[in-house]
Amino acid sequence: MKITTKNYLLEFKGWAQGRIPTDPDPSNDPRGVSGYTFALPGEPDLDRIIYFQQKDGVIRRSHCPAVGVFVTSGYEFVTEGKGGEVEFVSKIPIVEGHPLYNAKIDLLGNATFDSRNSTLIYNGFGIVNPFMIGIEGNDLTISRRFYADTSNEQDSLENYDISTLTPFMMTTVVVNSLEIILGSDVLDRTAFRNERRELLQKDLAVLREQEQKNPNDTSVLIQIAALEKRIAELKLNDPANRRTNQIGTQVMINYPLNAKTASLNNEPIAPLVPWPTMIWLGGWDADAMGFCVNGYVQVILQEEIG
Amino acid sequence: MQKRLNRSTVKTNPTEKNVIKNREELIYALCEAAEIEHGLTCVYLFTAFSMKKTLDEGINEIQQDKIRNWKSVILRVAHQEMEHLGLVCNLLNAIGGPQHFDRPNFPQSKEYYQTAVDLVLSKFSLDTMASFMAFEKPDITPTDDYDLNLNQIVPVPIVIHNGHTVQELYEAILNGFIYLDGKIDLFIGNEASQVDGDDINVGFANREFGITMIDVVDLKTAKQAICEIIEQGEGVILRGDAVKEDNKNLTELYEKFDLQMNALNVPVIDENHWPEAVTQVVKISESIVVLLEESLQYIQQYPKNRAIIEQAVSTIVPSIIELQKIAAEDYSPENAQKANDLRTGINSAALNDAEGAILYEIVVEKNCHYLRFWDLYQDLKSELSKPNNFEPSRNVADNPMLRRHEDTTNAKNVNIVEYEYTRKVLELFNAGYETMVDMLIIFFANDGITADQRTLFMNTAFFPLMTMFIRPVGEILTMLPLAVDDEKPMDALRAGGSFECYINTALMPRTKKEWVYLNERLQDMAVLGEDLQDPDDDLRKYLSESAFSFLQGQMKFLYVNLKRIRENFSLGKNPQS
Repeated sequence: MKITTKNYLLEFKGWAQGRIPTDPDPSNDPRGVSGYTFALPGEPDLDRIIYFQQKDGVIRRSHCPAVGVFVTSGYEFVTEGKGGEVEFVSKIPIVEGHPLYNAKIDLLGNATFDSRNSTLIYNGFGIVNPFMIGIEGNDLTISRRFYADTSNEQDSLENYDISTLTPFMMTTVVVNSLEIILGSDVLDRTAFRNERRELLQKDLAVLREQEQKNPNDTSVLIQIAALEKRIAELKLNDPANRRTNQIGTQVMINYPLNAKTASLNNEPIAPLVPWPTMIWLGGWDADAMGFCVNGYVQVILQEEIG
Repeated sequence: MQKRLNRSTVKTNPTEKNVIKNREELIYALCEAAEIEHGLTCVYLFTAFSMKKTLDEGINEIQQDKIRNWKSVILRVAHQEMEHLGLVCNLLNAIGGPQHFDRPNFPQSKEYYQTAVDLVLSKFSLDTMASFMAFEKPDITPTDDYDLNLNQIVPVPIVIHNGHTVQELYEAILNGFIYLDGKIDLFIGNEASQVDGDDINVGFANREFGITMIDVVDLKTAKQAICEIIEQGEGVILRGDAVKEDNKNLTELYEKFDLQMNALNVPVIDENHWPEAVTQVVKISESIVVLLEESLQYIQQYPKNRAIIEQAVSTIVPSIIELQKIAAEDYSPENAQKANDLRTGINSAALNDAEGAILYEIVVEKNCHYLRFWDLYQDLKSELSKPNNFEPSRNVADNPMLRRHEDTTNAKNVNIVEYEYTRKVLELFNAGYETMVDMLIIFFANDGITADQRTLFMNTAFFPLMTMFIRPVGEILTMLPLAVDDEKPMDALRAGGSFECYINTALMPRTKKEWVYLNERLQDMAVLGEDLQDPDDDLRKYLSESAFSFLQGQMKFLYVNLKRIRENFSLGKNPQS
């Protein structure tokens, strides 16, 4: 009896959004008050959902990047054999033209960063829950979820005790990460925020002219209030201030996709092994409430033959 | 860039006349400071929790944003008051004093601490902000105008004339440290018990939360801790060092203004003093106007503040003319009332508007509590003057309490919460507050506990109890009715977090199992939280549909989190079990 293993090893990159309140606000504060992230006038409440793809709920502010995480490279390869006698059957690089090139990588199930200000675990970055990666390419869709304890698959983290969860809390890899600087195009954090602020100030000047012409235009007044808040926040630009400082922080997630069932082209399958992932998040842009994502996932589909 | 005060320039002048002269008095004064910091934190939080949040509360999007920004100012100040309390704990620890988290229940009249205004729980409003400014008001040229009984070894309260500010109390404390250092072996506390920035670690070196803990081990560090408090609160350094040479004229003028303001409320306007008292008020008010007009030439840095002073003058002048007319008439209760009202208006314009504009020019630390509150007051006043019936706060009752306490027997304006569900939520709030305070006592005493245990208390009391319990439950209470109101339930008065004090349980004798009491308390809270997770259907009468739905979600979330906090504490205090 042989084992045939089909692998998709994918690298993906892009920009994500998480409209989250920040401590010391309660973790579910709808607008943000005492932290440094806010729902602005004219925007819906903070929903705390992490978006890897553009969909309802993503609020793109002016001069901020678009949301979208996509496969940029990788390999599709097949091996056969068992133990020490495994051999390559095929090895195809994932480049333009491959069904998974530029495939959408999504975080499914309305994932949030869950820690509830040290209620679940003693760490500010929390655990991404649910952590369910969806891959959507041409003619190929795959998804699978992570559970902190595969013998007890629970949707809510409070159903696991602190010792079960602690190994999975997101960890800070580097505080001043050069990988982030290159990956996010934020070459200098302070200059980046000042540049954004200057753009917003120009927009504000235009709105002020509109206000002069029509002082009672509520839509203009709301936009002015929103811009003023963004500008005021961007002015807090001391390199030690977390608004600025956190842009350079690189945070690592490496949860295995280990749920008993997965989905392949919308059909349930029962993978035999966990699928490893490794993702870093960084370049946290408090004004955009977004961050860049760079990660890897290996989909392992095994079949026993003979 | 924010100008930082140079602490090395701190000078004080302790004189033999009025100085704390023994350890007992110094501990007493520090305990009073701890009570005030603790009380002010609760007062500020109550007010912040009373502010509207959602558009269905009759506010528009721009007003919602304004309210959010004001609330962040008040919460930020409250966080710093907590820091001040922590620094006072270190000062107490340094001289062998006990941790002091006791305080009288609300409301307390101004006589209790000899402060300028009462210590009450009240919703967000102009009046409330005016009282906050009074607590944080800087004394830019302080004197030793306070009494101490120098002939006894047991302590007496420091009685500071004309209603003391928090700054003056700290002036007295600092003088006590300076006087006693070297005369007695003052710093006898265990240095290891000092709580520093590594012990309180809520992220980002605590800077983001306005927390700068200082180890107090000698006179130099005691001064640093006291200056940190005064700089953040009143924006000055002690003994008038905040006054720069180029502000000397304005400072002298302000001193005269301050004297007139103190005199304004002295004349008793009644039948026995008619019309002399009114004439006296007119004279004082005229002097105030002259001083305000004179001050305009010195308002250089912030031209907008000139307009505020001019506006105050234009409010006061017609009132003076009106008072002159009334003084010419015979006494009647109506005339007396009118005269008193006019004086109140003059007082408000001069004190809440013009005085802040002058102090803005003088005070070095523009980011201090007083000026932040004054800014907020001006902004709120401007919004309220617009013709749109803007009401930024929920209809929250003053001092909504579960019961009258022994220390508030004669207090006015206590509102007993009667609505059953609200009472239960308030019980939960007070139990959580009490438990958190008990944990803070152990944390700040920092004696006989391991580093892991200290971390456990931080990980329970700071985050999550402060942020995931006190604040959300405090806000929920301001949605809930104070009492049954079948006629107009949507207009019913609301409750609020009353921060009630019962007994100090944290200092129970050591037990065979550690902190069983706290564990039991958290368990009781989780059980009560479970009972409360499905709010009464009757509450639908008092809340909009979306507010009721929000309440349901919040109470379920609260229960799950309370259960978890207890579980974590239980596991953490004894990891082997």
